[in-house]
Amino acid sequence: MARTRRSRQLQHTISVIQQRWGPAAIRTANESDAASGPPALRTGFRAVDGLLGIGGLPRGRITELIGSGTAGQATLAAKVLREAQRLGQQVAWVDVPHTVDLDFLARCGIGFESLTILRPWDFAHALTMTDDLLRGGGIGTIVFDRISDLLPDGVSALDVALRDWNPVLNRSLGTLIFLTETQSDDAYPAGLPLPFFASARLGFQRQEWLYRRRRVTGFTSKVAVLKNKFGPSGQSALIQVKYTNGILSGDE
Amino acid sequence: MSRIACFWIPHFIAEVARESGEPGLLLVTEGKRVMDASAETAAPGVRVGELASRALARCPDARAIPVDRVRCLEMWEQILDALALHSPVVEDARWGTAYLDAGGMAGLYGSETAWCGAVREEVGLVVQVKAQVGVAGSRFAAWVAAKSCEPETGHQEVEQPDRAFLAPCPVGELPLSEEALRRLSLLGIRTIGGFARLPATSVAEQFGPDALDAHRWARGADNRPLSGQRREALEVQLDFEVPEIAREPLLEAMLAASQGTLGRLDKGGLAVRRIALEARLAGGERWERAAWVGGALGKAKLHAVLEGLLAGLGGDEHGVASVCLKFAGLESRTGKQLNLFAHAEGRTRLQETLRRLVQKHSPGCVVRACVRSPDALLLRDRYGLEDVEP
Repeated sequence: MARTRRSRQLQHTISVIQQRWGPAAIRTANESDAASGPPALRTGFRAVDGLLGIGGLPRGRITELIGSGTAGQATLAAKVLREAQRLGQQVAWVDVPHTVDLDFLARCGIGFESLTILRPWDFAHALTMTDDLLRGGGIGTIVFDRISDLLPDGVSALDVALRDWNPVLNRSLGTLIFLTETQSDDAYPAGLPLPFFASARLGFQRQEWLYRRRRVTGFTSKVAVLKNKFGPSGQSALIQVKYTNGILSGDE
Repeated sequence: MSRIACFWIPHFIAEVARESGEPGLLLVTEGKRVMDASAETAAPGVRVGELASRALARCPDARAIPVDRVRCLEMWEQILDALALHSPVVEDARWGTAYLDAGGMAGLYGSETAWCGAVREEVGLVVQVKAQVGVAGSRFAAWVAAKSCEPETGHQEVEQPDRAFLAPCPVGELPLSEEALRRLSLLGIRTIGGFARLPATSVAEQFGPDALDAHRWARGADNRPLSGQRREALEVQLDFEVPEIAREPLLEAMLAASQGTLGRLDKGGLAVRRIALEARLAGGERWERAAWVGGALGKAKLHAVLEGLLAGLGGDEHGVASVCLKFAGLESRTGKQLNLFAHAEGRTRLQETLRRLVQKHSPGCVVRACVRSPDALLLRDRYGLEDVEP
C-alpha cells in the first residue's frame, strides 16, 4: 500500500517537473535515449575496442590517452583519425610542440586531403584555436597533441575550456582526444583537470621491443582502461605495433 | 546590398519581471550575482555581474528578485515568433537581442522606417516593452544603431556606409578587452573611426589577434552572416458543438487531431521546442498554457505533455468550447535525421571555420600537410606543410 502511495507521489513529482521544464527534463532510465550509450569510433586495435565496451572511443566525448614516449598512444590516436576519415569526417591535429611527424601520419594511413593541422604559438593559443574549431563546426575528430608540464594559469585555462567543450562536443558528436605525455609510467602531471572531464582514459605502457634478426620491427604495449563511463574500468590488454614494409600496423 | 536589422530590448530580463507584476526598482539575480536590473538603477552605478549585496548597498530602493528563466524563455519565444512575421530570417542572439534579415523590406513596406514601426507594433502586441531597432549593412553597425537610437522614436536606419556611421561612435562599443580599451585611451583613440584608421598589423601586434575582428567591424567589414531560420509553427484547432467537461475525452480528441501534425513532424525530421494550448471555455473565458518540449515529439511524449497541460485547467462547470494547440519553434532534430547532404554541409562548414580561423589567427597557424615528392629519399623533402588559404 505504502509502496503504491510512494510510487504515485513519485509520478506526481515527475509530472510537476515535466510540466514546468518539459518531458525531457526528467524521465526514467528505460525511456532515456542515452541508455544505449553513445556511438563509437573504432581504434584500429580490436583488443582496445573490446575493453571500452562500446566498440571504440566514445563520440561526442573527451578521451585522454596517457603514456610515456613510444608507448603507442599517438599511433592509436592516428588510427582513430584514419577511422574517422573512413566515415567521411574531416579531422584535425593540434600540434602544440610543432613536432608533428607527417611520415608517421602517412604510414598510419591518414589521408592529407581531409586533415588540418593547427600550429599554435603556445598552449593558451592552442586552447583558443581548438575552441574556435569546435564551435565553428565541420571537424569530426580532433587530436590535441599534447599536454605535458603546464603552468598553473594553463591548468586553469584548460579547466574552463573543458567545461565549455563537453556540451559542444555532445551536440556535434565530435571526438576530442588528448595525448598526455608523462615523464615515466607513474608520473601523471599534478593538477590536470582532464581526469574529471574525460569520459574515457587509457594508459599506455611499453612492454618490450619486437625484433627480427636484431632489427626492431615494433613493440608491444599494455593498454589499461583508467576511466570508462560506458563500460568497466581497470581492465587491460596487450597490443602490438609493428613497422612492416613502411606501414605502421596494429593488430587489426 | 544586404540589410541587417538588430532588434534589442534594453534590460529584457528586468522588463519581463516587471511585466509579471513586480513593482518598483528591480535587481534580477541569479545566485548571488546581478543578472539584470531596471534601467533606473544605472544612475547609482549598478552593474550586471556584480554581487547583489553590493548592488543593493548602492541602490537601497531596489528589490532583489530571482530570475524566472521559464517566463523569460516563454516571453522571448513569443517575441521571436512575432518578429518572424516580418522577416524571413530571425537569428536569436541572446535574450533581448535578435538579428533580422531586412533586405528588400523597404520595397514591401514602403520604407525601412515603416518596417521598423511594423516590427515594433507586432512585438508590442505580445509584450509592453520599449524595443529598439537598428538597420544597417552589417550586424555590428545594426547593433550600434539599435543601441544608439532615440528612445522616443525607437528605431534608426543607417543610410550612409557603415564605416562612416560607426566613425564617431565611442570605441567602447567594440568588443575589446578592458586592457585594450585602456591602452587606446592612453593613445588618445576614443572613437571607432580612430581605431579603424590603425593598420591591421599594428592592431594585431599591440592588442593580439583577438582584436582583429573588432578592427574589421570598425571598418564596416563585419561579414558574419545571419544564421537564423524561418520560424514555423503548426496549429491544430478543435471546436466542440457541445462543450466538453471531462478531461479524458478532451485529451483523446486532442491526441487524435494531432496525429496528422505528428506525422508531418516525423516526415520532416523536425523537433518541437514548445507546445502552447489555448482553450476557450463555454463561459467565455480564455485559458492559455505552454510547456517546453525541446526535442522530437512522439505519441507517448505528446500524451504526457497534453496531460500535464490539461492538469492545470481545473474544473469548469461549463466545459471547453474550443481548443487550439500550437507546435512552435520547429527545428531540425540535430544528428537524428537522415541528411543526404551532411557531407557537403560538413565540408562547407569546415571551409567557413578554417577561413575564420585563418582570419583570426595568423595564416601560419593553420596548415595542411601535402606530399611534395613521394620518391624523395629524405623525409623532409617528401612531405611539406602549406598554409590554408583564407
